[in-house]
This record gives sequence, C-alpha cells and structure tokens, in this order.
Amino acid sequence: MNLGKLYLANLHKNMGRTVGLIVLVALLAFVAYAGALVVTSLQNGLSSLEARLGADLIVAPKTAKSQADLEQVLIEGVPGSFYMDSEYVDQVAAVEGVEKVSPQYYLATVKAGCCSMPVQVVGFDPETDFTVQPWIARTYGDELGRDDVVVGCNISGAPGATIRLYGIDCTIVSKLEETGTSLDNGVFATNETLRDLIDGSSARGLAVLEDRNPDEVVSVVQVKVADGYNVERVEGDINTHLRNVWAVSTRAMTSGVADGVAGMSRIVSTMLVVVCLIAVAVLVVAFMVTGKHRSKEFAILRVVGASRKALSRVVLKEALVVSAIGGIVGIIAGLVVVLAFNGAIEGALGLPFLLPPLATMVVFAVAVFVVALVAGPAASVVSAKRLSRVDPGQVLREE
Amino acid sequence: MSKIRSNPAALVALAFAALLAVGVFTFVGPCVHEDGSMAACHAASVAVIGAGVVGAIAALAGLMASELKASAALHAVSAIAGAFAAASPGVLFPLCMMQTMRCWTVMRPFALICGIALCITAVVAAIMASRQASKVGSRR
Repeated sequence: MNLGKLYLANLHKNMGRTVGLIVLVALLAFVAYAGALVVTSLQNGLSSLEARLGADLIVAPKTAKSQADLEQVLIEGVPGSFYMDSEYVDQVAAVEGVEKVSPQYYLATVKAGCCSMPVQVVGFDPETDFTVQPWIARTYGDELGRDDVVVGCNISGAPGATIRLYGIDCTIVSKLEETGTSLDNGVFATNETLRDLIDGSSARGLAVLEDRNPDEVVSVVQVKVADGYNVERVEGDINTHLRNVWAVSTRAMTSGVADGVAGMSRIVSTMLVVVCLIAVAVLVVAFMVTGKHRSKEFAILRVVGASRKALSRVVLKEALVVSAIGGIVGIIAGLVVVLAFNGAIEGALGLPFLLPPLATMVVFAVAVFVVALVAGPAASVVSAKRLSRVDPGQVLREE
Repeated sequence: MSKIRSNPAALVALAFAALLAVGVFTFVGPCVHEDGSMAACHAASVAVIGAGVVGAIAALAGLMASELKASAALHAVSAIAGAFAAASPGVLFPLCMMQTMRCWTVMRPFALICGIALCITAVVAAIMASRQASKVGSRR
C-alpha cells in the first residue's frame, strides 16, 4: 500500500498540533542559533579589542585612577579627560626596554543640548602614532588636516558631514569599520585639532585644562616594548622610577575583559544546552502523547494493508517536515533578533561585541538546521515504533 | 468569530499594530529627559506611535467591515501604516547622534520588525479579503 502524501495530509488536518510542534522546534533552533551568535560575537569583540589596543603598555597620570578609570576609557569607551606633563613622554622613552612611544590626548565633550551625549575625542601625534593610524588607514589613506576628524562607526554622520565640538566645526573625513570596542564611539583627530578644541572649550568657559598650557600636557603615553624585554619588567621599571604616573600593561586590562567574556560565554552556552535538552524532552513527550491519540487511526491503516515500516515512515516524515519548518523559522527569528538588537545586547552585556562575518553565520545556520532536522525524527522514534506495532484487533475492540 | 476565521491575518495585523503603538509608547520608547526637553528622536517616536494607532484602527475596521472590498482597502491602509512605521526612525525622521543610544539600539529595530510584520500581514489580509470579495461577486 502506498501511503504517499498521507504525512502531509495528517499535518494539514491537525493544524493546531502541527503549529505547536513547529513552535517547539523553532524555539530550540532560535536558542541554539542566537546563543551561538552571541558567544561568537563576544569572542570576536575580545580579539578585536586585543588587536586594537596595539601598545604593550599605557602610561597615564595617577589622577586617571580617580577621575576616570583608564580601563573604562579605553575598553568601554566612557569619555574621560585627564592630563600630565608632556615631559613624561621623553622620560618614558628613556626607560630601558622601551622601543617606541607615542602621546595621546583625551578630551571628553560635554552634553550639548537635547539628546547629544559626551563623546571621547582622541588626539594623536601623526609622527609617532602606531595604534590609531593603522585602523584609520583601513578606511582613509590621506593625512588628517586641521579640524579634520575620523569617527567611530557609532557616531552618526557620513564622510563630508560636519560635527560641532566645543563650538568648532570639524569635518568628518572618514568613518572607521566596526571594531566592537570603544573605538566605535570615538572621534579621532591630530593633536593640532585637539588644541583648537581645547581653545574652544576655554572660550566657552569650560577650561578642561584649568590653567595649564595645552602644548605642555598629554593624556597618556602609548608604549611599545622592544623585542627580548619582559613587558611586566618594563612596567615595573616605569612605576618605580617615574612619579605621579602609572604604567599598566594592556594584557592585564584585557585579561579582565577576557574573564568577563569567558564567564558570559559559559552562562550563555549552559542556558543553550539546558533549553535544547528541555525542548527535546518536551518534543519526545509531545510525540508520545499525540501517538496515543492516533492508535485507532494507525490500527485502521494496518487493517487496510499498510505495513509496519510504512507506518513508521509516516510518523518520521511528519516529524521531518515539522523539524524542517521549525528549524528555518527559528534560525530566521534568531538572526533577525541578534542583528536588529545587537546594539542593545552589547549595551546590556557591557563587553566588546562584534558580529561574526556572513560566512560564519551561514555555517552556524546550516549546523543548527541539521540539529533541528535530526531532533524531530529522533524525538518521534519511540512513538513511531509504538504506532507501527499497534495491534489493530485489540485497539478496534477497545473502541 | 467567523470573520476572524475567514481572515486570521487581519487579527495578526491588528496585534502587530497594537504592539507597535503600545511598545514605543512604553517599554521601547526613546530616552526621557529630566528637564522635560524633547529629544532629537522625539518626532520619530511620535511618528511610529501614530502609525501604530492608524494601523490598529484600520485593521480593526477592516476586520469588522461587512463590505469585503472596503475591508481590503482598510487592510491596505494598515499595510501602508506599517511601512511608514518601519521607515520612520532614522530614515524619515532623525535619531540621536550616537548609535549606542536607546533610540538606535531598541526603538529603531523594534519599529522595523513590527512595522514590516504589520505590512506583510496586512497585505495578506487585504489579498484574502479581495479574493473573498471576488468569490462572492462571481457567485452572484
């Protein structure tokens, strides 16, 4: 007996049951796919942060510890302004083991009117910089002119637009690629432009430098340690020999973030496994319960000549169709939610977050689809075996 | 009940329109300023709420209408409202400067997803209503 499209007719006839099973499989696929994307994005963000920091050590004024946590400024993008004498640049360069140094200038703008918020302006020395310019070079090949700025991807404004900072109109010449780090919220300019901004702040009565000369201060010194020297040793030497400043290794800063990423990844992965196990268990129960209600239907099919194998195949095909549709729906829902709300997810987690490339997303989607495709029929195996072995005489007598 | 059974897409469209209006008015709305000043994204939020209300009224009216052609037209209005809601934040109306702010990270994706979902379900409802109108017309 050819049962042909009976499985499709069964699914169509019991639309409520079919939709319920599809929703269950979709939930499993959604959690698996969205969870995988979130975990991978966290790891990508961490890698991006480690690559982006560039320097081995960062030397900042000791006041940075109280005014603005250096990690918050560099990693989370919390705007901060802190300064030390520029003579420290040469003093740091003279420490044994230091290969190269480059000063940077941080300026936090103020909230100007409705709905703008402070942004971090970072001034760099184009002659010596080795941390910011490599990133800028990816999107802008020319030199930055006076009052030209490069903005992070989270700043609204296309190249050619004007952004007003401390009353100075600056031209956006380029927008950086997304890095998933504080770079995305920053405005980058040469130290010459930054001096214009500092002068602008003074003109508006916002003396960020108080009474200090902008030509005589820097915010931090980025340090590259020479090959063959131990980073922690050089860090210790700077902290021992130079007063009023403190050196911190970027590796120490990122290790805290790495711990956070690892912890969050563990939580998400555990949740993912638990939800998937529960979904599979519920699927098994759902198939067994619906199987009990279909004993008479299968008993009649046995009476009219359907083989046990054919009956098993009907149940398994039903499960396969439900799994395929549920898998596709769940994957699409997971993709839409993570893509649409990735900014909110990043804000909620407070960790570097960078979506994986398209190829990785496709690989994950295929993997989750295969899992969903297997989960449904696997959950229905017991029910399929029971239904195929139904004793028609006994079932029909009971009815 | 028979009207809902004959056109379930209309009910789904009504649900999305209501979610759009209520959502942006409450839990996914833009920041509120302590000094009472309006944010740069205020116009976008008002536009989305308005589109949600219009979409909900049109979907409800379409569901209740006895004339099937009128019902189809009302669902088409609801679809336009959905498209307008999806396009409002960031395209038709400006949002705030930083893309890490609430209007970008929460309000805009919510309006996009619900607006597109409203548009699609309202179009389906309009098509179903027109087909029913054609069937009734051909029987006469």
